[in-house]
Amino acid sequence: MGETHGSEIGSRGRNNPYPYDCINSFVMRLIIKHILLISGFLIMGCSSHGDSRSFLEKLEESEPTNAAAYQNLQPTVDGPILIPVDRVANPFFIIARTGQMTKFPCANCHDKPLSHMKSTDSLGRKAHWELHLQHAPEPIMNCVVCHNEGDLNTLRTITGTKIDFDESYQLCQQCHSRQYTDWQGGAHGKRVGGWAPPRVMKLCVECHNPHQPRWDKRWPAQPSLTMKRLIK
Amino acid sequence: MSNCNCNHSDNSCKNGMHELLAENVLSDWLKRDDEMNYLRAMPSLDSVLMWSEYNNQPNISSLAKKETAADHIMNKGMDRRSAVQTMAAGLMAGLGFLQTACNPLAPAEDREKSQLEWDDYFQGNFRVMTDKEKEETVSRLERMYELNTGQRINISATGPIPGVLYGYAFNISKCRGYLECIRGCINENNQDRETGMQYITIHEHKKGQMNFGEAPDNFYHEVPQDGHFYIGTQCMHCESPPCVDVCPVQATWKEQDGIVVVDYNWCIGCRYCEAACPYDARRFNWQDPVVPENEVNHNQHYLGNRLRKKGVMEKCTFCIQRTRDGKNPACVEACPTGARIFGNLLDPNSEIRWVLANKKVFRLKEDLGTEPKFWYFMD
Repeated sequence: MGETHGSEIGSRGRNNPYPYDCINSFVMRLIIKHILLISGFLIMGCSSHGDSRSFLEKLEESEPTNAAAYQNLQPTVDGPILIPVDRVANPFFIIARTGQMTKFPCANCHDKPLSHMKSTDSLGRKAHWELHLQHAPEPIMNCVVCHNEGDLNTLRTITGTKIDFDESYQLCQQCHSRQYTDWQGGAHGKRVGGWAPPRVMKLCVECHNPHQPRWDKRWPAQPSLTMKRLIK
Repeated sequence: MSNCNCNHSDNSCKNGMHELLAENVLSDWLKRDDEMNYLRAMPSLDSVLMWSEYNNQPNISSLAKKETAADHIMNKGMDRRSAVQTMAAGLMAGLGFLQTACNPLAPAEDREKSQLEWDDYFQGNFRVMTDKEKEETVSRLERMYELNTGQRINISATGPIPGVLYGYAFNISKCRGYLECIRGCINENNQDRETGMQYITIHEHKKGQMNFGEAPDNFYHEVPQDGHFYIGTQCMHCESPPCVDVCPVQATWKEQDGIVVVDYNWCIGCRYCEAACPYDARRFNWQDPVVPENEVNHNQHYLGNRLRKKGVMEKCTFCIQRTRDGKNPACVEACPTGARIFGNLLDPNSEIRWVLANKKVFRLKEDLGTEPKFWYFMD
């Protein structure tokens, strides 16, 4: 029976106890398949029509949060003086650093130019003896790339513009522009306080020692779960 | 050792072992290499323990917890007759308990305690409570804690902030495996110190591959290791959470602000959610959690870090007690590298939205369609 085709259908049909056997015909199967396929597409198309957007697309099209939503929240940064960083797309704040620096203003000691303050006795340097510049190779960087030799209370850019110690990020961004962009946006750096506005960020130099910016290896804060179980 | 009451026949209970264990000061014995090797050689302790094994562990006097009355009954094998007897005794005790609550002659404190325990027993599902009922529930829990320990705590029932949907981003180029997040989480969320409960896992991956099966999460060495990077996992607070779907008693649900929470009083401890979670985010309390009184975080939330009990599930709640007050979760605050970013997904000016718009982000097991609100990205 398996090898019956087209022309034999009629003769087979006469003695056939199953009158709908013609469904076996190649043409009928083709038609049924197509009907099923089309209706399947229709069903799928209708069901997914309402919600074909990805989660991120939905977020972007969602109603933006009203500023009033945050009004009942207590401020999470309270106390330090905040300085706005407002020449950017999303303005935010940094914490004033000059008030926290122990020996500021520097002119308390540096009352004459650096060349006059070089120690001549055998004891060597009287201050800043712990400083070793390990930031960039010697030909690229020395103290006066960032420090303003003429006025040690301030810093200077490569072009000689005076920069306040509170805005030291201006110096870092001269080379580290990618990190600066990320810091402005929120992908780099450490936030102070909570998630709700206003946004307050740490300065670059609060995490990276400008003289030795590389982070050292260290031990984790605590052993892992499995280690703890071992004690029992 | 006189206080050894385990019945191991192998050599895991040798005196040396017990003296070593009894010190109970991790930093001290970690320095002693020979003993570390001895511990590592023990087969039964090498892997994560099953519950049955867990019960048979050597009981150290300093760590041993008093067996509660419920433990005593539940752990005892018994025949039908004694079961009926115990149940009858329980019924009598229940009547007595009711009597204490109503007896004008009993001390006032006992009466109050009985009344509170009675109310506790018949508490409804938090999700369907009115604001007034929520208020009564948390003040009852506060009062019960005060009667039991003499310490005052603050349990809040603060609801979600309208227009806020929480999201999280994790920078895998920044994480250095310091595990400060884990410590911050444990301290904030009153997790059981004895079993080493933790919500966050940090996986140490070899650079050039990302295979969680081969990434150890039990490392303890100087970090970051050369040639490795670190990925943290925790509850992803999915938009379509499979753990919520499987809960037979609706003790877990997704709040308006996207946080997936558990009502610890309503949970029956069936652990379906633990099995359903694709991210290994749910934890079960195999015993009554032990938190030293001086380490208890007294700022609590009903759905967050209030003290759990034996036999219920718990999980990361994005530190609901902090985030609903505008603070960052403890892990975000503890991370010294700034690898963790948290914020409001519905606020176009938030850090998290900037990351989603400007970084190449990905999520874990995205193909499952659970829509986790936890993204990973690189610098």
